[in-house]
Amino acid sequence: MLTLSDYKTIFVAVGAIGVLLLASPALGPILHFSMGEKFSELQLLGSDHMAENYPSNIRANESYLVYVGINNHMRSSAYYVVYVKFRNQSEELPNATVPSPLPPLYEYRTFLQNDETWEAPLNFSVLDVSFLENRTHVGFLRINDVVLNVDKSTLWNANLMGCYFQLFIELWIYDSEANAVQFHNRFVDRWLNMTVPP
Amino acid sequence: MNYNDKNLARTLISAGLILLLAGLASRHLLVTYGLGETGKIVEADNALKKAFATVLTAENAGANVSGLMVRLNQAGAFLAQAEMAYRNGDSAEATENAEQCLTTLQGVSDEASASMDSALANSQQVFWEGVTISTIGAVAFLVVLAFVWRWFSRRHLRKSLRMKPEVVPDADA
Repeated sequence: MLTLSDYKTIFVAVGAIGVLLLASPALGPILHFSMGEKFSELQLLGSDHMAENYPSNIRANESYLVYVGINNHMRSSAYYVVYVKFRNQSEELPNATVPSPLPPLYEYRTFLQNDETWEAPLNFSVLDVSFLENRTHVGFLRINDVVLNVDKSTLWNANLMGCYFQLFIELWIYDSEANAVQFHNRFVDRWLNMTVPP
Repeated sequence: MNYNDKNLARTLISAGLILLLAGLASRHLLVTYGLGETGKIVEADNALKKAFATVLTAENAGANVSGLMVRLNQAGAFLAQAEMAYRNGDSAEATENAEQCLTTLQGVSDEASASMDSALANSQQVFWEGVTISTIGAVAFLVVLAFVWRWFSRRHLRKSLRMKPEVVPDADA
């Protein structure tokens, strides 16, 4: 059987828990609990907004459609810059922490609130394509009706059996502490085989 | 130094001064006209960053910034167009888009600051309401608990006093 002292302990515990529960409306704005990891998602989707039906065998002057998407899970609004870049097989790709040194050809700038999603079409076509022996040369790239000078060549790749270029997309984010837009360590890419003559 | 040497020295000094002045003037012209569009883009870029920072502060203070985010997105699209036009060598379009970006951003920081002030005042009111409700609730709860404890302890004591002593057989007997 419980003694009076044991009952007293139970009453004190109930009192403390009750006071804490009743104080929660006042403590809420002061106490901030961690709610998981802060991150962003970068997606490249096919023409039907799914991760399929990506263009791969590219012909000159034909138009191809993909979608670029971002999901903000940074727990506050974020300012994103999306850079579209184009490289041949010998030029540098970004890695997990360092962006590609290649200049961007096209860019999107978007502001997203927490848990908000953004998606934009990326309609592209290659222009002024020439085939010389074992190499393909691309003069221009048209992205969303903006014609951009690329002037790049790539050699025949015996392993992949084609002349490949790569369209890749880097995600950058504005850091308010640094007051600068910085690489957000995310990129997506597509290999584009440009072996087929026009 | 004869007359011809003096003349030559004067001519050289004059030519040097003219070249120096021409150099300075061309640099000034380059800054004023040649790099004008870069200046506008930098100005628009800085204004966009500043406006976003203010909107973010307002959001953290609890303000609803949905409307301001729409304007930031419009301004961001103009800045992206300006950057691309500049990279493609279209200075006129770059400048025009940078100016449109700046026009779109006009008033955003002020509106964000006003929203933040309003949100802060509102959150302070909510906080003090919470403190008042919590204090009254906690005091009432403790008073009720004290009464319950008083009643319970007396009842427990009475119950204990009414209990008959239990006879336990002596194991040694």
